[in-house]
Amino acid sequence: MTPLLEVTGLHKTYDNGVRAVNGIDLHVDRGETLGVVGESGSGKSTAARLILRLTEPDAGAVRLEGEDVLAMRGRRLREARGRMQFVPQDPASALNPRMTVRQSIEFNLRAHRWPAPARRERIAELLDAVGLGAEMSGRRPHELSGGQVQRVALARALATRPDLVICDEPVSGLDRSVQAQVLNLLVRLQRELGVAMIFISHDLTVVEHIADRVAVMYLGTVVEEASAERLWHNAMHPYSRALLSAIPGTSGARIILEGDPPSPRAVPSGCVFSSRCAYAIDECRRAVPPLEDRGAHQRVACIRAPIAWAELSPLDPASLNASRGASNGLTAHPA
Amino acid sequence: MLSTTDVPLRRGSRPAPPPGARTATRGRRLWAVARRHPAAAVAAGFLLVLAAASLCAPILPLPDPVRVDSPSATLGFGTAGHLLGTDRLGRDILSRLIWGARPSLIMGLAPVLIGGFIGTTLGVTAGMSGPRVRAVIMRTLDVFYAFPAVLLAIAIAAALGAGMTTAIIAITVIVVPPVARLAESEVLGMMRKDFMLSARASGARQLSIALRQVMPNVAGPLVVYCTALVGLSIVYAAGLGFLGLGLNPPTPEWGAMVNELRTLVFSQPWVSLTPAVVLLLVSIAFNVLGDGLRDVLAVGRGTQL
Amino acid sequence: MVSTGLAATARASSERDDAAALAVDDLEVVIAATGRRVHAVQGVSFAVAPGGTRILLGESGCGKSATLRAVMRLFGRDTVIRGRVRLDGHDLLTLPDRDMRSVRGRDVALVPQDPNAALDPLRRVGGQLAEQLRAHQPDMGRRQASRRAEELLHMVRLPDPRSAARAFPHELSGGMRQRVAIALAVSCSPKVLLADEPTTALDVTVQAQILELLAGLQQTMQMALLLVTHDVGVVRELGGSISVMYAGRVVEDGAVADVLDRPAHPYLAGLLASQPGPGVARGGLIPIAGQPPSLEESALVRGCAFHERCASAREQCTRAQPPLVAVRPGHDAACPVWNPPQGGEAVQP
Repeated sequence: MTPLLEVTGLHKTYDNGVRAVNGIDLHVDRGETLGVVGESGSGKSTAARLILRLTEPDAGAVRLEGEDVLAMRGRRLREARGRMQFVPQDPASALNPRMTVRQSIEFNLRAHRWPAPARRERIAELLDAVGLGAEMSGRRPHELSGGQVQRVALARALATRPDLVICDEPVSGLDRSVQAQVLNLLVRLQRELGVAMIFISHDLTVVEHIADRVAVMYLGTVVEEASAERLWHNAMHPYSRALLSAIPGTSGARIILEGDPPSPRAVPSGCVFSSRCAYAIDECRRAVPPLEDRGAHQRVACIRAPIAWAELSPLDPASLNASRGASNGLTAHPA
Repeated sequence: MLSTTDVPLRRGSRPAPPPGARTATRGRRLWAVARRHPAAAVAAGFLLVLAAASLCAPILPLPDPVRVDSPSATLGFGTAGHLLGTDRLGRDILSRLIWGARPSLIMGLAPVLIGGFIGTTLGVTAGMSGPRVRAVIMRTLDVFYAFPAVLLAIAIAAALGAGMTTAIIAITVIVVPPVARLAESEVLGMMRKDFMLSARASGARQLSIALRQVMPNVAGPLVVYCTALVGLSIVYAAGLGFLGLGLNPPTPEWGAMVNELRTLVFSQPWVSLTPAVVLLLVSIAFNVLGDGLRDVLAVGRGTQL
Repeated sequence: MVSTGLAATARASSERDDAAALAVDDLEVVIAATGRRVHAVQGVSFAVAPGGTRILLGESGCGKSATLRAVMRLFGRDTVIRGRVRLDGHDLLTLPDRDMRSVRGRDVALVPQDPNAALDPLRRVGGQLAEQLRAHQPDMGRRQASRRAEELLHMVRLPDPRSAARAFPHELSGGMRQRVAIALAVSCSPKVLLADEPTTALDVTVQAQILELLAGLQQTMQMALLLVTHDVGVVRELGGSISVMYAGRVVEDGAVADVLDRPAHPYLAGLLASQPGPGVARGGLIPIAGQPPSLEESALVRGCAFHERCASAREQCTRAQPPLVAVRPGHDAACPVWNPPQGGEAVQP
């Protein structure tokens, strides 16, 4: 069966030399939620823009039910866009400041030629679905709270009954108590409507909570992909493990990476993580490790995993010191 | 004062007004705006009176602006029947000023309306297009920037021959590049906003995005800028008139009047300055009005008309 | 506001304050902003033990950052600060401006959320550190100061302190800049280190480094740490004591482990139930209804500021602001109504 969305070999280097996306492969099935997690510079937001064709990729393919989105023009592209929608991040600019809530949602419906009575009905239905009263329809963004703005953005994205919604950090700008409201809403709507979702975030707890499968990105590549549960309990890539252990307040051994992620302008050769990895060997710096299937739908791009974990327990500083060079690498201590 | 994370977005605590309320209170809102910007209100009033007078010129009790009455040449201020005096040929200056307001205002407004439309279209197109189309549009417009504006207008008017249409075309050419540049920079700044990404991802046509999403946001700054440009355009028109590239004499027009009265500087200095002073006032009025509009058209807490 | 329960806690707190490194007592902050007066902080009291940690936890607009700024007196003249902020037996709020300037940096120092706010973009990092050192220790020589600056950069674990000292802020990454901002704050070995969301702007992996660094420095330098955050994870990580703030007031106060495991105020219970994490079923978060009030709104609410969002609210909650009272030794909460479920599990209002 063809997946709903299939992304292969996507590349994008910006004019300023930033290698934002460096050959990623992803797929999303109908009704599924794919979480994409990564830190700043991981290319996760660029990936969303490439898939939506808001930015043109340098190479690669994006297929929506087998059809190549990148080859589409004019009307076909506009129709495809009606089936893939976008929920942006920043509550301060997610909605057009000059448009009322109703106008913002109606814009998307007009784009796909919904007649006026159907539009009116659909807007009422959508506002109700995202938990906003009908009296909100005449308001402008500056009269709304952050949580309300994100609800409207979600209603707008769902207006044309898309098959896929791409959410780029949809709850990052919100307080936790409000964030939980929006997350629950996302889950409920997704279940009711059967829409597939790509959920992008830097917050692993949020992604783990909402996603069926999670792709971990680092410097423009996917380093690991697995079911949310499997990633949480059995992450294989050293970066995924560091990311998991860095979540503040969690129990267990803490792996603290040293240094910051390298600049996407100067991506290390070979494995992109090799410059910060405690387990890196010469071979890691020579060739880019492929994303290999390790069973149970877990794909890992690390030539050392999972053997490395058995040989070198991250809890044993002695074995660590033996394996790492200079100041690069992992320090570990019990939390 | 506070960090951004500590200041929440403004909350919608006041209910939306009922549909009828908007129009009912429009007059009151206008009054509120006028009170906040007295200078802009005075400027608007002055321009309205001037426009009304120029429209009503045929029915106002004014002497014929082109009738030559040589025996009574060059009368000063306050002469009976000639409030602002007469020129060398005995033509009534007040009458000529009021009759001349019409072509001057037309030559001020028309180029800005036409040039504003063309400039906005070019600028918005450039801002919404890819780097290549943008470069072609903006670099072409840069060519016009290379010439001094006044010389360019004179060259065009001289090439096409004197007349109102010529003057309007010449000034339009000057107006287009700055308007386009402003529109382009406004749109470019907007394209990075999240709501524009959503709009582009919605599958709407570019034209629909431009009209419904982009225009309401760039209209404000453009209207403000163009209002101020009208003042400038009137001065340019007068400049062309002064050089004889405007209307054919004896039709009254402010620029030509400045030229005609130039020779009176020594005998009737105040009379000779009247058209220049009117030009100055009108130009300032448009600039002040533009400043007032800037505040009125601001998004959010500002009053919306 | 006055009640017997409050008087009792006031007495208890004054005893506590004598030993404290920093004691804040009944702090009020009224900010004058564009013609309006905003009551940002209303009667906040807490103490930080020498070498201890106190965390202010709260969401947007709860007044937690305003509290920090009030301690440092970083407000303009039009802002009214009332109450007492005691450090070493002095009330910082009554100190002359001149003395306060020398207290800042030497006795109390601030690590801001955005390191760029602490660093001059046009000057080398080492020079800024040296200047800060010499400002508080006039007898320190130029060379000595720059050597000390390098030591400090080494202390905050910058990989190459010597070249870092010669770098401009923009040449450093976000995490490194935050380390420099911390070095700047601890340069004169302050007794109390204030930190305003020091990790919020950073990546997760860098965040862990900075928290570890702060905790380590606190221990080696014996500083008291007063840290503001919205992140419950950061609270768990650092431990110590906590004041949970809502709408300009402290609604819960106690030891971190006790307060987080057995919340006694429905707001904190709701906040904890809103946290996603392993073991929470998808769509099974229990959010708090509505949204936190803005600074402007919080002063206008009658009664308990939380009652509009609270599932257990009763009529009495709309009448008067409940005082902080002890629910068990060392754990105060400002809710006489809500009964936490027993056993400490599955807390929800």
